[in-house]
Amino acid sequence: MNVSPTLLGSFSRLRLALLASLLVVLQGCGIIYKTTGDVLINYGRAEMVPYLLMDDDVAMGCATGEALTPLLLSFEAVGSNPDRLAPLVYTVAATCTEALALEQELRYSRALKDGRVAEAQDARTMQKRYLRVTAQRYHKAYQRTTAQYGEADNGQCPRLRTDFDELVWLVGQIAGVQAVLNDGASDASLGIPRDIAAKVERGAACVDNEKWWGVPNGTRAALWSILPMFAPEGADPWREMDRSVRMGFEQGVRLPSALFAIAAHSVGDEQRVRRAVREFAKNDQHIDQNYAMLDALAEFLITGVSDRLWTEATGKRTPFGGLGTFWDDQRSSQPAFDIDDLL
Amino acid sequence: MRISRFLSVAVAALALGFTSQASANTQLRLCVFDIIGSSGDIFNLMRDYRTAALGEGVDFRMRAFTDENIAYEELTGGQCDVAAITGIRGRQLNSYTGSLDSIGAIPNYDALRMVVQVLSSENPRITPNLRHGPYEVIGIAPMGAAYLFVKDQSINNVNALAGKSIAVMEYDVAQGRMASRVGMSPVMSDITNFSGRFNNHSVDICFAPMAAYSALELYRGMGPDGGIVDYTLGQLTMQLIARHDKLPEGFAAWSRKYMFENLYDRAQAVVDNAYNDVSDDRWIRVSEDDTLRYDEMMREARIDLTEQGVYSKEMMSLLRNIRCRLDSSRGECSENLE
Repeated sequence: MNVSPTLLGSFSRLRLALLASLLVVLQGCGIIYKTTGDVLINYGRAEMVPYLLMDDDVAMGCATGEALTPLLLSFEAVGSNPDRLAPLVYTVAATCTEALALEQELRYSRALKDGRVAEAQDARTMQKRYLRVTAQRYHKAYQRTTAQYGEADNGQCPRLRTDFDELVWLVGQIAGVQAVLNDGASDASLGIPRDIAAKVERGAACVDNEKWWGVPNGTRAALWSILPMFAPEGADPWREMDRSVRMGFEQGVRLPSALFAIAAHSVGDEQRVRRAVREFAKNDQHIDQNYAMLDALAEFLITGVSDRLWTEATGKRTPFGGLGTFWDDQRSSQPAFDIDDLL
Repeated sequence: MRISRFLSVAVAALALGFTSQASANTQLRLCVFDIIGSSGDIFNLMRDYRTAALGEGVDFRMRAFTDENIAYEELTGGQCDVAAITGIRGRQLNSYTGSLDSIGAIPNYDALRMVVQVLSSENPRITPNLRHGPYEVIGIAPMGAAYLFVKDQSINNVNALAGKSIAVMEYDVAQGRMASRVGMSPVMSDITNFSGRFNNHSVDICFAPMAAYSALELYRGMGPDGGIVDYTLGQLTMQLIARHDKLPEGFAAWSRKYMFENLYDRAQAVVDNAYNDVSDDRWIRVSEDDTLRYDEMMREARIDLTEQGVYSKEMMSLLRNIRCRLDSSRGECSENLE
């Protein structure tokens, strides 16, 4: 077949034009993507996070974290910076697998109680799989926090300009401790650096304790109770945690109380665990609605501790509506008044 | 026919009766020392031990202790039937396995694995040594080799140690004596304060397993000029020590086998993880000549401490034989002093 040179010439010109327009379109996409990313990230920071924090639905928080994290973080590839949002979404995403791990832990306890060894071993395996993913998510939350703000060292704190920065920092610190603990519980399979605990002990001091419901000192004191070598000389971790717990109750975010219960459970102090769970349940009147999600997360954590105790003792978790009670509480059918007076 | 069927049913019923009696659970209390309590690596390992033990008819109630002394006292006081504590702490209950943590006696992890394999073999010449008085050692896991962490890399040979201060564990006599022997001033410490003393520079040197490097931030005490002396001073082990009379028949043997076959390598993997945190330039390499000198010093110290009754003679002999099995070129292999 003969093709005229003129036709060939116009074809190659057309091809060049096509290539050029494709390039422009692709570049345009880049610009549009980055703009979309910036808008989404700013929107997330200004609107979505405050909205989500007002919701006490932990399952919704978890689903949001799992669904939105890849979307938000993918904008990094086109030049947007999601570092301030990432610790929050990774942390709520971690609660999903943490809940699954807890279910397996309870299954393990039940199986053990009934002497079903194979099922108990299977539940442990599943628990470790979920804990590993949980540790990974918390660790990413912590890494993103340090990528954005750096680390606290020798009394030097990072510059936290806004309340949002302080909140992200604080969440990132707690995520750091959680990463180490969850990694440990999954046979240290990720090998997350253990010095995060010490770094968080310093980092938590970088935000105002009273402003953040006693969580900063509560976190530090919880670490002192588990690792006394980090405590300043003469410090009394339980008294310090008690102060934080009161502060949390007064301000309507009961996270310090959950931290107290977790620390007491970790060192095997069941009396303190019980006291913390009872007080937590009693102080549910004045929840700060702007931070309902954080209080709900605290409830999720402390219910987990209560469920572990209940299941080990009875094979069943905390009865519905029964948070703050224990299986061996004295229940008397005898009224406190003298029946003879009525007769 | 009918009679024989009746008999077989009766025999089966009897057999079932015996079986259910044999699998009836013995309830025991397991006290676990873990520096961070129920969230720690040892406690985590022991959870799996507990699960497997149930299959052997032993139902453990577990409790975490962050203070090793209390776990030890609960065992000796009878509140715990089995305790997971360090070999050094358990030395008073069984000097044979307590001597595993002796200075310089197990130079690497291959040797440690071989030792624990031997101890878990149920060999009739070994097993009687695992029992002493009311106590029996029913499992051993690695907790990591111990090294010297120094704040100045010029402390690269033993002469440079003289005059330096070192934090030593107050309950391990051997550490203090060894330190004094090379001219160091030992500062009696415990697990809660040794790292603080090193990190705030009130001592020049500390002695710790690699896990402490990251968890206790020993790199802060080392500063930019410090390092870790690449010479294994000893192996720390976790030992399960039981009150023998509480254990059902055969459980001790099962426990040692299970610990070695199922948990040993997992514990070693946790130990290995800790090395990833250390960059190459942090290691202070020891020359071959110095290594030989230190080996000899350690051997002399062990011989002394064995004569003083701190270490067990039988264990020293086993460890020497294992060292020589793995490396017959060692100088000590030609003369039998341990």
